[in-house]
Amino acid sequence: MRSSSSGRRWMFHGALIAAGAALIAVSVAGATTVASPQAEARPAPSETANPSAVVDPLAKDITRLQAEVRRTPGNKVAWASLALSYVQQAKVTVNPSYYPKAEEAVDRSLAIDSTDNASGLAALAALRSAQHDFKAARSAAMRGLRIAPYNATLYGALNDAATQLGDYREARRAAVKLNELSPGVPAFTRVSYSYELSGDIASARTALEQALSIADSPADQAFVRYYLGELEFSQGRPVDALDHYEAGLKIDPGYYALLQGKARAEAALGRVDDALRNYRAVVAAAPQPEYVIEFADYLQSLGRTAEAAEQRAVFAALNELFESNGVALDTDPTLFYADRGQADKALKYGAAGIKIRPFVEMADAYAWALHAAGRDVEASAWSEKALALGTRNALFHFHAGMIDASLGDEAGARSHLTRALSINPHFNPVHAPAARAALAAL
Amino acid sequence: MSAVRRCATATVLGIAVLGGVLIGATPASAHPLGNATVNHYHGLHLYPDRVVDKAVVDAAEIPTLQRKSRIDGGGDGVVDAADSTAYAASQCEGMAASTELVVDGARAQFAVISAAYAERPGAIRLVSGRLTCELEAKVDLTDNADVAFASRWDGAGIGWHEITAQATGLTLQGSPFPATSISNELTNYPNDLLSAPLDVREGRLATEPGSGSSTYAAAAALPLAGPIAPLLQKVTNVFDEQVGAENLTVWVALLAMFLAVVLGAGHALLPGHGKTIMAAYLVGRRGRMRDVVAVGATVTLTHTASVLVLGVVLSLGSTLAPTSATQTLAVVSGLIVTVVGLGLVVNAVRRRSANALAMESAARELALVSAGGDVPVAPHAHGYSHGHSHGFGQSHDHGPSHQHGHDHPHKDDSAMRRSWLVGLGVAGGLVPSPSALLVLLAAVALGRGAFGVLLVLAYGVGMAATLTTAGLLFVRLRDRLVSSRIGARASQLGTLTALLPFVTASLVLVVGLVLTLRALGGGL
Repeated sequence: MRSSSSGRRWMFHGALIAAGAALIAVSVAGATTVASPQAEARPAPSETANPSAVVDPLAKDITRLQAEVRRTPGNKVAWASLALSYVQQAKVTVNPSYYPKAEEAVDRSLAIDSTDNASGLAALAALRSAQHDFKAARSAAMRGLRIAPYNATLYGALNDAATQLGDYREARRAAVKLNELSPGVPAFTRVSYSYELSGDIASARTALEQALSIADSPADQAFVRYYLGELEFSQGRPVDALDHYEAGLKIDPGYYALLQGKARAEAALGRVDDALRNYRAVVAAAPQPEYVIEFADYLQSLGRTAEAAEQRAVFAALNELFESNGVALDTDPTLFYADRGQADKALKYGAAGIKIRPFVEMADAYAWALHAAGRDVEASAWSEKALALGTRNALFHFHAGMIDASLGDEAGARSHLTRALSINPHFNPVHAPAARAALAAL
Repeated sequence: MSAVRRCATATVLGIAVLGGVLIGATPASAHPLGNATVNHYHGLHLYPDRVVDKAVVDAAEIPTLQRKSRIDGGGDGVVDAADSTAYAASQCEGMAASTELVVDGARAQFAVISAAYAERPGAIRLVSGRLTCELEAKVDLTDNADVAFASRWDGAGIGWHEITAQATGLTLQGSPFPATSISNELTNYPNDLLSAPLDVREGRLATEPGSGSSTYAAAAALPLAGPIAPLLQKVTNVFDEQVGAENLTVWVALLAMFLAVVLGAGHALLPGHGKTIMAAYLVGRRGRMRDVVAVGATVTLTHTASVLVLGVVLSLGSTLAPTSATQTLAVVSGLIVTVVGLGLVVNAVRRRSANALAMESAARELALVSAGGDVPVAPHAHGYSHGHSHGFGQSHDHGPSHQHGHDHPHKDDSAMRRSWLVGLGVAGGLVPSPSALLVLLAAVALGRGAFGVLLVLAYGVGMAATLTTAGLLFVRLRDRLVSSRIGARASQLGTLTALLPFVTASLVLVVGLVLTLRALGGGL
């Protein structure tokens, strides 16, 4: 009897502690959504025209980190985290004013400690990637990994830089390592892209769906929806793509990339009014060169020549702004001027771009520039490089087909053009009809 | 363009470059947010009979180019005076129609007083455009009024959004808008590294007839109560600087540990509930030194554990609002105290009826031991005469443990006592103090997680030290009380000590209920 009574009390005693611990856990779990750690490739919801949009955890992070570096200005990790957050905020809100701030924050972090500062190097790598200086990004990531060989953020940065530098094996290794160290949205999206580049669309889709299933923050969900939409559209499924874009926009109405994807899918589906309205909203809110060109092509395909010319003037102005500061855009102006038949300009941008970014997209753009200049033999070689990974990209195949046609290789031309249209019959509002016409003329 | 998915970084090349371009290239006229921005300013001036809004829209080079066909009404490629006038008029009409002014729930309509549009040279051969609209709305602010304002015009893109408010013949209460423009009406944008671009698009204020001043509701620091608070704040600042310092030497580490102990001790001195409960309990139950230590140790361990759990979760997910977690913990803490109080009441009632007599003799015994002076602090105050079975229960071995001197029923009681003590300790330590949490998170952010844990432990030790000291003081005080009067008023004291457990148990119960209700009400 005694022992049972004593046991009961000890049980009570233990239960008290257990209950306390459980309640801590429950209350804490109920109040939080655990974000993916170190997701520098992951944008968060943006500042939007709609003030009632989702609460922005990134903005909260920034406020917290700003307070932290004010309190402890000698804190290299806080400065580095702030820089990373600024880079991310710049991407998400399409707000370039955060880049100089990021640069300064990185400088502060590395000034405090330039030798043993993995966080500072991770921030530097992310910033340099965002600025398209992929060699600097890769070297920063590698330096960081020598200090901190198990830092997931650094593997993410290395993957980004190596991909753009055309070192796909290193990129794949970094993605695998990232996935081992920190399986989550940043890892799965990068693994997916790696699959997509190699033409394994099913695996790319699986990886993204996996990412979607574990994406618990609205920001992560919108981000993954965008890439799922892009993947589906690129494989000729605008209806599925539209579903993803709309699902993403429901989560974050201020995510301009989703709106641009939606406009493109609507255009492919013949919903002209919706497409025009959404394209206009996108280029007004976020006039990125890429969006502006795409809108111009769509206006052109609708026979709205004057409006198309307006958008092209905007693109030219954007491009000139970069150029006047010694920075050349790569794929966009290369393709833009090649499409316009301005071969000299296209070659200038293409040759410069292929040096900075020997990536499949750049190889394809350079091939198209060489084709515009009538140098089809060289163009063919670059086009082969663009397709060497087995990427299922309709535009790459369209370019390859047109180059083959110029070289008199009718079989090659027919094969590539057919393939382009089978991968995605809506790959471009101007070029898809051109591909059909060329195929008919062969 | 093709739908090729690019890596996240590649898609933002444009922005990155654009940002660099803007800041570097045209320092005099640059828009800090880039030359793809549309920036907005509303300068509100409130009078008793009207609200005047001087609104400015400063469009950078790219949006100005995008709007060229709309601005250039003649379509001749040149924006002349007639084009500017017509464009300004139509834009200001649109702004007047969309800008929201609500006075006491009723929408007031703005009318355009004047409109102007001018272009000035920007980067390369581009221009930027500045639209200025003077709007006026007739309202009645002669009595106290509630005024809401929202800018809704042309705000889809990125840009600076600023609103100011001043008054003549009125007082503005709780205005979310400052009186003067920090960008000098979009002519000189500040661009501090540690500040986000301004994004104020709406707000609400109250007006009163009178002097014409404004109380700008700037964010205030969290107030701390009591005279100890400012001192603690200073210690906290020193502490933060030390932990944040770059090179963590042994001395700095020791100093940080010491400061953590001081902070913890100080925290326990701030208004709270732990001391009250513990003191009441110890007085009522005639606690021993080891009881005091038990409570102190439990507080330290629970506090450290709860800070660690919360800290880990916080560093995993930044979206957690710590206040909601601490509020829940406060409710839990209150409930535990209530349960413990309830148990104590039940116990006291039961024991009192069963052991009233035994208690009296125990009190006498206690006093004698104390008066004999051989045990300076606290005799074993088991409180109930189960008898000392030294030499009786020979089957026990007489080890160093105090408990071995007693028979089993007493042991049972000890276990019981321990569980209450642990309950109180858990309740006292369950709500993590924000400063301890801050210490941990700061250390984690610095990549010194282990050191952070150590600091939190030190903080708990500090807390426990204060609580224990307070407890010991109570015990001593009570012993003095008992020994000085016991000879004369033994029987009276017996009654008193017999009543005390019941009174204090009720007190604990009441405190528990109050704590729970307060936590539920949000007043942590």
